[in-house]
Amino acid sequence: MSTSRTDTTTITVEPDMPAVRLQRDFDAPPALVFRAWADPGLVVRWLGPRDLEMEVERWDCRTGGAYRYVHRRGDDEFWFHGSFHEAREGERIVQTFTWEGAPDSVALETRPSPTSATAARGWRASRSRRRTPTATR
Amino acid sequence: MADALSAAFAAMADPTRRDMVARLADGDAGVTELAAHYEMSLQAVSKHLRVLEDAGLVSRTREAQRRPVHLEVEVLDLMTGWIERYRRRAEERFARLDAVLDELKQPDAPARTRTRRAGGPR
Repeated sequence: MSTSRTDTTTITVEPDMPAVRLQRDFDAPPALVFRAWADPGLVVRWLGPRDLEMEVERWDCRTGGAYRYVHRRGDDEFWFHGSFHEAREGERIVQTFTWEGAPDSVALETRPSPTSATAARGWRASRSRRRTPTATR
Repeated sequence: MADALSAAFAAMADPTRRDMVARLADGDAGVTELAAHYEMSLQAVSKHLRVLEDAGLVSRTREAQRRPVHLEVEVLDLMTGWIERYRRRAEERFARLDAVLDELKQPDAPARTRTRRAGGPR
C-alpha cells in the first residue's frame, strides 16, 4: 500500500482558454476518492490552505446539490459557494466555484477532466477550473 | 516585483515570443539568426523582441555590430517560482487527501470525520 506519491501535482495552463488543469494521481479506488470529496466531514480534513480553519455550512454532493463553506483565520472569513452540476459516484464531479468576495466571477471545476484518462490503479483526479471573464465596469 | 511579473506573463502570452524564449534558452542569438525561424519580417521579429526586452526577459548586449539577444534567466525563475507556490499549495492539499484515503482503505477503521458545521450569516 505504500507508494511514493509526494510532490507529483502538475499544473497546466491552456494557452487559448482561461483554464488551469491540476493533475494528480491517487492510489485509491475511484469510489473512495469520490467519498473523500462527497463527505463534508472528510472534506474539511484536506480542502483549503492548512493555516485556515474550514467550516462547512452546506455540502450536498449530488447532481443539482450545492455547497457553502467558510475559511477562517482569526477574525477574517472567506466564504465560498457553488453548485454540484453533476455528481456521479466514483466517476465524475462537476461543480461551480465562487469566492463570495468576488461574486461576479465563477469557475467551473470538472474532475476528472474530460481529457484525462482514468489511471489503471486509481483515479487520476484531475481538476479543470475554467474561469469566466469578469465583466469590466 | 509584481509589475515585473505581470509584464513577463503578458509578454509570454504570445506563442511566437514563447518560441523565441525557448530558442534563446539554448544560447544567445542575433536578430537575423532568430528571424530565420519565422515567417515574418525582420521588423516584426524586432517588435516581438522589444516586448520581451521591455518585460526584462531578454537583453541586447552592447557588442558592436552584432548585438546578440540574451535570455535573462532570473526573470524566468521569477515566473516559475510564482507558479510553483500554487502548485505546492495544491500538492499539500492532495497529500492531505492521500492521508484521508489511506484511512478509508483500512476496512476496520472508519475514517474520522469532523461534524462541526458553520453557523455563519445568510
